[in-house]
Amino acid sequence: MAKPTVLIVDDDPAIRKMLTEVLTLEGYPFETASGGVEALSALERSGPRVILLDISMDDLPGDKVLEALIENGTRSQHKVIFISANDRLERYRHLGPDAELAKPFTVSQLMSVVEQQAA
Amino acid sequence: MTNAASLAEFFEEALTEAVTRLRADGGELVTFEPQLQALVLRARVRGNPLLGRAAGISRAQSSRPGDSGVEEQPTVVLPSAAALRIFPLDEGVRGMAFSRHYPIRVSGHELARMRPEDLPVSDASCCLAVPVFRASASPTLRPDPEVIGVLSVYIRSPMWTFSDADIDLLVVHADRIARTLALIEASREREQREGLLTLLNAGPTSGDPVALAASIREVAQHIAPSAAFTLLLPPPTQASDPDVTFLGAVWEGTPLSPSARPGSALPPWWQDITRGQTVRVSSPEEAARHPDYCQIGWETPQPLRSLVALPLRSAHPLGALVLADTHPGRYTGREIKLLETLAAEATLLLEHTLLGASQRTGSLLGEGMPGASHGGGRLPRQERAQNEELLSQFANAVLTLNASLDPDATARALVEQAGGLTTAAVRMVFLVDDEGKHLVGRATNWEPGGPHMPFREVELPLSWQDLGKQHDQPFLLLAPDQGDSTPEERFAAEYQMASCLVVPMERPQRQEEHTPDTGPLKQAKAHPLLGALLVYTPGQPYLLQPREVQHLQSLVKSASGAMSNAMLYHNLADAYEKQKELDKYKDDFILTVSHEFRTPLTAIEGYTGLISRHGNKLDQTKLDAFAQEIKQAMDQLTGMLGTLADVSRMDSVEKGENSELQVSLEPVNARIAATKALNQQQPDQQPRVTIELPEDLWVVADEERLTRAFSNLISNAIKYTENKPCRVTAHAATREELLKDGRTLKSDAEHWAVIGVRDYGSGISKEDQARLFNKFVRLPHSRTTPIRGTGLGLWICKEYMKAFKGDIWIESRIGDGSLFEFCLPLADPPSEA
Repeated sequence: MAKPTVLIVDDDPAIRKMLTEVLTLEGYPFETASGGVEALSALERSGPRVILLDISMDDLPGDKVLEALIENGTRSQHKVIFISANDRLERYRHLGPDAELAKPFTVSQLMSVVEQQAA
Repeated sequence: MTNAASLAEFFEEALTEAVTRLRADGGELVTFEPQLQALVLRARVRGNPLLGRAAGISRAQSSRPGDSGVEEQPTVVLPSAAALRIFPLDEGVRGMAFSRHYPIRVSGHELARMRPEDLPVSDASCCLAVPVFRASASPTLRPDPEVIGVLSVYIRSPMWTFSDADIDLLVVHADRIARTLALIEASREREQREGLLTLLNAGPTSGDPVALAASIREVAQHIAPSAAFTLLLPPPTQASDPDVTFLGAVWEGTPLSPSARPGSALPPWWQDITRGQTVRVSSPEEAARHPDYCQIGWETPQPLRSLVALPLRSAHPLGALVLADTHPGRYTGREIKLLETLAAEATLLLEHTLLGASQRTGSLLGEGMPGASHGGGRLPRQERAQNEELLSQFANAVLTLNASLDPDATARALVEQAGGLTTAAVRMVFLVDDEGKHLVGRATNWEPGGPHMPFREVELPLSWQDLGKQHDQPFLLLAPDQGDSTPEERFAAEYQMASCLVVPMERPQRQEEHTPDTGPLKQAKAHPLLGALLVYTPGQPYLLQPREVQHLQSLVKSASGAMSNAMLYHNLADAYEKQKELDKYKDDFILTVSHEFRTPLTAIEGYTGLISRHGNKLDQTKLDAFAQEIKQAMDQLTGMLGTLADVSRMDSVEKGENSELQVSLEPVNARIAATKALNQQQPDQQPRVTIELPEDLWVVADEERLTRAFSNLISNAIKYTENKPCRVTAHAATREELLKDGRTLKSDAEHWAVIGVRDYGSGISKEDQARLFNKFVRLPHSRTTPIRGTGLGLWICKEYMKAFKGDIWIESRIGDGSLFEFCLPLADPPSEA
């Protein structure tokens, strides 16, 4: 079965790079966005995605990105995985992400979440 | 926060928070009430609200209503012996375990030694208790803390015990409670003082000494309820009546008739009073030291066990304000401080009321006691009228002076009130600055056609004509030649001063033990002079008029108490505000730091995970690339740890635990350090910086820390710069040039390098520039450090430059980017050997 495209959204280049290496080796097609605004325009251009969405970003935080998706009615097309280094993921649960990952996470944790959402 | 209900609420909230945070099953907060000599239960929480257990918060009934302040809320008084069994203390509330500053941990074998009923709750398995210390205004200085309460939490499950981290956490909670209590106390004190003034208001104008004594007693009762009260006045030296006068004497609320108190001898402590000392017999030690001191001068129906006598003293010893009680331990340091204020005010009012009374009866001040009748009206009618006007003038002055707890308002009140007592045209109030080196202008009522410098900026060196050495007597000051080479000369010229009267304001003496243990206050206390009142008429020599001098002296004396209280309050409130803010920053900081650590850890976790999952698929190039990424993340972590370690070292420097940051100064190649710092940046960002430093640029620094400083500055520049690449440049400068530009140089080196990091971003406003190098400053949208957003990056740079004996500064204009520059002494390259 074909694997869905994953959109990596993180404003830290080191994390983006690591995630692309992982997804390449795991055989997932991916796109990257270095901020919330870029993520939204990438999503406008393309179809459904699994989104690895970092919460703390300067231009537009991940929770706001999800809110925008809810508002423009495209939320249900995507699987959203919140990522945060803040230990405060529970604060954003009311937005209903499909899954969440706390930094630091292992490759196995990452992949089991991604595979679950891709299925 | 000052009323009883909200105070109870505060105690409850604070305790609930502690219980919740420690995941305990309940807790108690008790405070020590000196008036009751007992521990009082302030709040009790059973069950942890967070854990959803029965969260009953109970407060018991008041057993002693009607005491002032805190006591008015519902409380239960624990007999101290029973309460102390909760904690393994042998005797005395200030028992050993507390005064040694150690929290007490009751668990394991200690628990076994305790009977079950000793624990706050019978099924508690472990109890953790920490002392609540009286908060000091300065977070750094705490020479001998006083225990004012105990915060305890307990758990029920025998599976658990408290860890060292729990102790630390509980200590933090106890500190917060202590600080809030101190704030409450400060504002309560202010309220008491305000109440005190309202009450005194009625006294002086009536001119009746007995009425005055009654209103003073009312205030004193308010501060420290006592069985006995009197104003004791010694027999006048040349009077026919040799008896001691007990003015307004009261026993248990009933005024004593003179026949009921045949006192002809002065109490044994009278000698101490004449030396200006406050006499206190309250603790057992004090009672043991002076076994015969617990007498008031007349036979009391019951023996006295506590006594406080405060001197009423102006130019000569006037008498004493005496309170006494049948219970021991009645008078605490705080109360005595308030009573001393009362005594200072009472002195002035009493002196002038007696003056009025003696004029009415025709005797001279100091020669007769009220009610005594000697001779006929010696003072001419006109002078009497003048005196009466003066009297009301004084009463007014005292009230106005005390109305504010703001030093500036008090200074303004003083210049205004002084206006009524002098013929000189100008009145100025100066206060000694914190370092005790200058007198700084605080208020003047002179507003001529235009002195050019704002008065508040006038600073006179205390060394000028020994201004600082004389603090008890007024003196005449001759202005220096009017020139403009020294601040004194400029001042004299500007304000057309030929000569002036200086009335020194002496710092009121407080007993050593009552002095708050605060850093800034301690420094201020170093100088016995609080400030001075200067009066003169522009362009004219000041003509000495003994009467006027005497009046001004009295006024300044009464102002000194008000001023010193205002300054104390001001400093205290200031320090607490700062501390509160710092607490918030620290919480944020810890959160940010933990966030920043997670990012490199995630990278390391990712790459190592990939190697173990896909190792067989990876070629050497890929493996090398991954290893490089891991190395980079590790370097980032190492750098952060180094920064954190330095931050904590600098903290201890600030606290005075260490004299300065220890660095190893040696020749460092600046270009190499800058290049290293650049390599630590994200690879895709690196081309945005050009390093234009000469290869042989050697400076005196610490290599690791210079690299870190470069890294902070470069990563900032990358974040700010827009299209043009940032530049790292250098030029040479001499010591003289740098000093001329206002740089602080701690090294004597003649030749310096000025290294700059230039960005082409939006620039930084002048206001922001001023606070840019402060700790915890984060400009909007800025990320100033590799530990991004901690607000410590530039502060660290500044501290490093200080340690390298150089300086750092910024030049920036809105729209034109910023140039961060620092200077370091040039070094010879290390020899090739």
